[in-house]
Amino acid sequence: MSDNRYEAIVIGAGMSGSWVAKELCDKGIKTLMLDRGPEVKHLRDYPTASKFPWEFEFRGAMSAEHTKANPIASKCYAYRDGATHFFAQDDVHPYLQTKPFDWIKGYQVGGKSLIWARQTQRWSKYDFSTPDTNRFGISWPISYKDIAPWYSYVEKFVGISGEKDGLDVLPDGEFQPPMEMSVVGKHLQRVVKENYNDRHVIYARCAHLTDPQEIHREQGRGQCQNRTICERGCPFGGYFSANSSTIPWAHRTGNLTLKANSVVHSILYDDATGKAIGVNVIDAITKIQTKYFSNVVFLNAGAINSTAILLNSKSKRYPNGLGNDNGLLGKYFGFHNYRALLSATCPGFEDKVKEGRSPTNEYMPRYVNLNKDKDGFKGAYGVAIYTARYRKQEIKAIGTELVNDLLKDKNYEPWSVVSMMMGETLPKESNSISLDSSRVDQYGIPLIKFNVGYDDNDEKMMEHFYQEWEQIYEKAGFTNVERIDTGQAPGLDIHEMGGARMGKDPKTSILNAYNQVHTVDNLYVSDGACMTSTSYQNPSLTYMALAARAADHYMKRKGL
Amino acid sequence: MKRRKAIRNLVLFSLGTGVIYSCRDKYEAVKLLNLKYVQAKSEHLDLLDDLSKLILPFQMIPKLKDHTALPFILNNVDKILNAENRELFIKGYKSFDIEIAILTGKKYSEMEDEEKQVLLTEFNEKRLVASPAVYMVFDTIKSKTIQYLTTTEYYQRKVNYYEMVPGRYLGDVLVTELKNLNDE
Repeated sequence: MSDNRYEAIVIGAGMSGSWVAKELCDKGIKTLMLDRGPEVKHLRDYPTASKFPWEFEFRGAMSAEHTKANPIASKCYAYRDGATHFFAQDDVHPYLQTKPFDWIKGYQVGGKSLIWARQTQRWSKYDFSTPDTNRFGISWPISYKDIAPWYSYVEKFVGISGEKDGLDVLPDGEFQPPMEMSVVGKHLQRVVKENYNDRHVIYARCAHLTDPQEIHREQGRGQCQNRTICERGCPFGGYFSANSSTIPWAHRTGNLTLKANSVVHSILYDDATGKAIGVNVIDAITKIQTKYFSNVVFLNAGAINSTAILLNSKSKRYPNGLGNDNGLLGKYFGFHNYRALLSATCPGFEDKVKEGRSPTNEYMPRYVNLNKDKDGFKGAYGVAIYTARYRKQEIKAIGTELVNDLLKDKNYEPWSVVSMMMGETLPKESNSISLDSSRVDQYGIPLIKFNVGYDDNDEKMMEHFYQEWEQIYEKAGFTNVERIDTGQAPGLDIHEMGGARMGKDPKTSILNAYNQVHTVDNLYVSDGACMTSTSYQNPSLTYMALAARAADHYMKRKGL
Repeated sequence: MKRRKAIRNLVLFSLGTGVIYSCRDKYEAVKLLNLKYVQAKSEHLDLLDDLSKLILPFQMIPKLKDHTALPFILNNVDKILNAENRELFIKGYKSFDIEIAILTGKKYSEMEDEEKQVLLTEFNEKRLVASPAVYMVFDTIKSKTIQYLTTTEYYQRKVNYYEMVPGRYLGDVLVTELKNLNDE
């Protein structure tokens, strides 16, 4: 094989791209994986993983200069001292917004798999059929049955902690032992069970090893140690990241070539054969352009960048972007509505606390609009529930009294709870991303422009959540209930979806049921760009399952 | 030997700039911070250090007796406060002594400790009719000294029971059964 020719090229070494690479390499396919960011090797490149809180200059805060240069990234909950190096800096990677859109970017090998929230709930049969039952968008070309085996396949390798709850709205998976609910979580679970038939409080499933199996030991990963500083990289490999799992696995096959600092400008298309033949890459450091060639291309650069690469891949046959015959590329872009919170105090349980730290939280899967849109809005929502009991910090006094107040042992505030609506947003043609050729980035690539916003359906869903959960809180005896609308812009949920959606009809979609571009069958887009609708769950598990499934589809075509 | 000495010096320098500040080298520690905006004279450094120690005298804790929060406070003011509040803080410490003299008839620097305590109590209870700049000094010193104490290794381990590697999570534990792994 020549230096620039491979059997397969995978664009993007993050959550989904690394899964494609692993699957291909396992079957002996010589694969080139490209990532625009620098190399991040498991363990070697986690410089802050074992730093104590008191070892940071500002001990939890950020300098004004840093925040000013990174006004978007600074809004992310995981953008803390000790993890900023795993976020793309705003001033280095600009983009355009016609409406506010907070784009959180992880430009390095491993992508955002290093800094994700590690929540791994499956989609159910209801979630794949919501566009049909709630009458919006287009139908998914696949159902839960199509993806269920791939959920299982991915879950076994990744390692998912969770309880088998037996709910059809949130199918069970291949679980390792669950972590324990808080005493307030258990109380809320009991109250909900006593008062509702259609609602369930569970402990959210997450990609943390609680009982590592042989497959995880082979990866060199060990049990989660409950550090909850995961965004710095985990030296134990306790949570799944591409860096600790799929990438080193693919490397060990001897079939992977990984090129970091490789910014894909566009995908090369051959008019004569109607195939993708390779990629045009710009070295992020030298800015030198190189072409790489392959028989198949997998596009896994993340929903936004994958869509942008397609839009920038112009040819005589596709003057408006590769595969964009219907003009829908970049449209029907989706996200999750995380604006609505409901906080309260939880009287009682004064003798109880948590010990250690949990990487996950209580959770209520969807209960609205299961079979039709009957709740005054369309789409589903779930609820993430955060229960906590904080140390009491009495700071009213000064002098020795203040010192003594601060040193009080085992002095706690009452229990508190914050529940957050995780709302499905409806795919709309007007929610779109496009390229602005009048402005280019440091590589000469047109800047990405967002036109994404909330709508009336989102507001109605929030009101429904507030009303329903105020009742739940009342039944649970919670007090000081407060509605909070964070007002946050789309994007901060970090669940970018769509832009090159899957569908049955080439007239209304870009990809088919196996993530192939309808008219370019050796080009797969198997990351968030493919999503037909958004449902409400954290989407990474679904991306990984779809990516593994797409790789399998290619290999089956080859007879592997 | 040279290499070993160089490493030792590097370690000492790192400790001085970023991590542990002791009373004895507070001026040196402040100097090493290379502050861009806060260019305090030694009399101002003494004033701010004095305020910090009277508002929250955590030096009464034996293991923290040599600590000062002053470099941490000034580094935060210089690099984290927004420009408006930073300017107010600088204006506040420069005019502190005079303004207190106008308000009480005695400069702060000439007060006995007991008089200072009375004054600071009035500040704390917002009973003193002082300028926003002077209040900015008091409020910033108090909040940042609290932050310094509560993020020291001593406090994190002894009071917060911080563990880098808990290795366990229990959601439902009796307070009375909470482990203090740092008990000696």
